[in-house]
Amino acid sequence: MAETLHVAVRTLHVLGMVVLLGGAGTVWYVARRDGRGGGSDTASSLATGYEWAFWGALGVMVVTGVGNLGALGAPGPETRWGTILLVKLALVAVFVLGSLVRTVAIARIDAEEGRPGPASVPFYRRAYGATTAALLVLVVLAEVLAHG
Amino acid sequence: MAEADRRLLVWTLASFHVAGLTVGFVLPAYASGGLSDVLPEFGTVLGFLGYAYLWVLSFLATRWVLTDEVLEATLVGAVRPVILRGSAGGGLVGLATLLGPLLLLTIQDLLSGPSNPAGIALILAIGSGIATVVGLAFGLVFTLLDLTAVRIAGRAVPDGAGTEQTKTEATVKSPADSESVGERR
Repeated sequence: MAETLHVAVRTLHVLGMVVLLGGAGTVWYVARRDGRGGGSDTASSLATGYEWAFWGALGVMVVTGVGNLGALGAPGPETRWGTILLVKLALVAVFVLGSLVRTVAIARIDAEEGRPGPASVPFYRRAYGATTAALLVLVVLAEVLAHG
Repeated sequence: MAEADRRLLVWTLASFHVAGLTVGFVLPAYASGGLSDVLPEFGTVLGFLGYAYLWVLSFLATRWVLTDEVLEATLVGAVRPVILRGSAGGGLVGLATLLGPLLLLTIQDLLSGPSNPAGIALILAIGSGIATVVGLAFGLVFTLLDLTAVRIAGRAVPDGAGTEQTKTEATVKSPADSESVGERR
């Protein structure tokens, strides 16, 4: 029973990252494509949808991440594994703060009257490019932690 | 700001507060070496329920704090309303964080006639005061973080980024009108 629960928690953790990374990469790609065409409608609606999904998935990531930590019986902070975990947690803290700024900015763009203008496309590209890059670094750190 | 955008902000801020609180607790607790002993005792299901309970409290408090008036005032630069309401919301979350679990633990005793009503009342009075003050402090800290994010986001988004239609109209009318469009932000 406990083993099944831990597998379910780990599965949720991986699926949460699929939503976060896959979504950010998709919005970034679409914003790049929209930028060439001069429009921004698709990137704008995708970005808004992503922000809703992002904060739900982030909650799942945080709670399952802490659950994993408890289930694994994590080694202490003085070990190499512990040092990498501390780096990962610090990055997560910075990432969460940065994501708050990104979502508030998206809400401000959405709140303006009329359709999102082309001037917003570079912001989408930068914001979701940075989000994708940060998430990739977190995935690499997670892999290092999972495999020793 | 439209209702849909207000709902996105409430959802975002409520989730941010709980995720931020959790990461903000786990990071120093693990660094000090105390977390490895505590977490296995806590249990997965209890941890999930605790997180969900905090999230619901945070959502209700954020929705109460972020009324249309408070949001509009914040977006034009007023900080006092949101700081006062945000701190009060934090205090309520702190109080409910204590009272919910405490009620669950003592419900059987309360239903069958408390064996030590004076003791329970004393614990409730002291605990409620401490929980409210701690909640107020966390509410203030998170409100300041939210305000900082709003300020940074305001600078990160280019002027007129969301106003293709409006910008075009402003350009057709006059340069003076165009400036006023930029200032709406």
